[in-house]
Amino acid sequence: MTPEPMLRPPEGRRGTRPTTAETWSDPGRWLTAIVESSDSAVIAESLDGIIMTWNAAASRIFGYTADEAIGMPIFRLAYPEEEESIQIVLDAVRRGERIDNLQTSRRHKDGHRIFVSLNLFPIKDEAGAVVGIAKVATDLTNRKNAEEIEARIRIELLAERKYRDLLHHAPDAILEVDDRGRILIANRAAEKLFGYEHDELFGASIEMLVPEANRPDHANHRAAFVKAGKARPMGYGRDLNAKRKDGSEFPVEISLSPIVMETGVLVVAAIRDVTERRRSELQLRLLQEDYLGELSARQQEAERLNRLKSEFLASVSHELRTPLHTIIGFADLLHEDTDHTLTGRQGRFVENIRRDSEHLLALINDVLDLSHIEAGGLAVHPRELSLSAVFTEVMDALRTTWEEKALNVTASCDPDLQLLADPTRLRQILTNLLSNAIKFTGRGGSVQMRGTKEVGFALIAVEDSGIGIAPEELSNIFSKFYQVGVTTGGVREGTGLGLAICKELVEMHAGTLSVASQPGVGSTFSFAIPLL
Amino acid sequence: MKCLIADDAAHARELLWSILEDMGFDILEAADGEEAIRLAILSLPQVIVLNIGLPKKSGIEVVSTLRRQAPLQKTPIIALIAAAGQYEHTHLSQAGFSRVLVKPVNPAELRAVISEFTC
Repeated sequence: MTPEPMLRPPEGRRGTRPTTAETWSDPGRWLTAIVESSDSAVIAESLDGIIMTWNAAASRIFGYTADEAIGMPIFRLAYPEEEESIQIVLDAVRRGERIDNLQTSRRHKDGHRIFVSLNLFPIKDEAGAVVGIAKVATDLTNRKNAEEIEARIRIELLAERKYRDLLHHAPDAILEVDDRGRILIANRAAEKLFGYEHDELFGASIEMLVPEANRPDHANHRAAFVKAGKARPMGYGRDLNAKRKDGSEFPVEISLSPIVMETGVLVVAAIRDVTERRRSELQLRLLQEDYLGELSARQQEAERLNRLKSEFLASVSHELRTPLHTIIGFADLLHEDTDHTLTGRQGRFVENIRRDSEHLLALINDVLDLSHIEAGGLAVHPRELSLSAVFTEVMDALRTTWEEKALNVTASCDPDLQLLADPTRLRQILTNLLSNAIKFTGRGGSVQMRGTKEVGFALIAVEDSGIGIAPEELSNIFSKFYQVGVTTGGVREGTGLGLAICKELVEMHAGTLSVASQPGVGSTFSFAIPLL
Repeated sequence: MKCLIADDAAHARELLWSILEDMGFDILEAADGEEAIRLAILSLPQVIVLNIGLPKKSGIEVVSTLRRQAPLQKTPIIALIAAAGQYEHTHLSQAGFSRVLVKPVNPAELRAVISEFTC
């Protein structure tokens, strides 16, 4: 029996019996013949599952004639409860997948169950676009143990149901999106989260869930992600928003994972509403700002009090020193006046007044200096200056004291040693050191002030041939109010603050004051100052 | 010859007076910056001794103002400052002072400086 041509040839010519002349030389006729002669059902479906062609084997296996079958939805062949599996299979093939040897059951026209092995693959046009689905079904009912197949199908269904339930009951919203941004899977949590029904989500573009403002960015991100193909969290630490059906927007955190398939990359996204978390973060941030603000306010208050203290010190110093200046001045005048007319005793008395007044003044100056430095109120004003000039000034200022003791005081300085230092403070340091050296060096001894140029800094030293400092005293020597036992004059002079102040002043110039000494031989105080 | 001294403390002025009384000057006294300026302009002294810390107008303001007066541009003006103050000698010379002395000022030294300027 010559089979009736059931394929619709591309030209649209309907089932005409070829003439003997044209028949077997036409490749189209051979194609038709193959299909019709095949033992397996060969069925073409449109993309939405409508049967387009039906061969003889299909009629035999499923029980429908071609006229009955063509135009019918493929779902009519589904055995009860298996409709979803048909849909899944259709979706896969539509995406361009092949399905080989899928053993499953279908429904005969008269209602009984048949077992088949299915091969499905996409039908593509010249451009490669999927235009339909081809299905080749082989009847298994006689060839295999039907019970075996039935059991397996049941297990598969159960497994499928298990995973489906898992997905749909997952606490986080889960979406699967293809590379064109269409939602393929949406679980129950996703429906609830976004306020859509499953049908509204399925097949819709993912952009529907992205607020308009973010859409351009989002499209870029998707493309980049698909390209990178690695699992990644999205929105961590950033402000990522999603949009519900009712238009309201909410902050989300998204984790992404790719499923790489031959036909493209699918993206699985888990989405979490982080409104609460953002609120907590905001609260925390506000709290932090509060604390920082408070901290800043307290700092400012501390600085203000410090300033007040410095101002107080400055005004107090003026009040304390003024009377002393006049006491000392009048003692000087008295000394002048009485040099020749008063007895030696009275002269000594005047001298004592003078000396202790000067001591008191020095003490006040030192205490105020040190307080200033500690309160941070003392600023150094570094300037370019010549070290040799400072040496000369300091030596001249103390000339009477060392000439009195017939000391040999010299200054040696590398030529053109230009420093960056505060002139007043450098003078103060050197005056202190020289004055100490003079105090602790016996008659006829020597003191040398030295300035040598090193790499990047100048090394300044004051060396004396005095009584030296015992090793156990060395560590205390820069402490406040510490005074070494006796000076050469046998008198406790000085304020004990001089070296403490020198140390601070040197440190304010970024240097360190150090001492080397040998009892009975002498001492050397030295420090470094940056070169210009 | 006239000498102007300015200090807000009465005893300080008395001290300066005592130091200078035998030098043959007519000594004028000012207790604040404004009075110092007024007296200087009115009497055109041959030498001025200013304490830096003056009320109403500070020593620096006084010297700046006086230096802008033609007859006082060459007048020796001596500054008296407290030790460990925040005034720098160069800063003071730039302001217009002819010399800076640190308190407590030595009577002999002050006299010597004044003689230096007025002989």
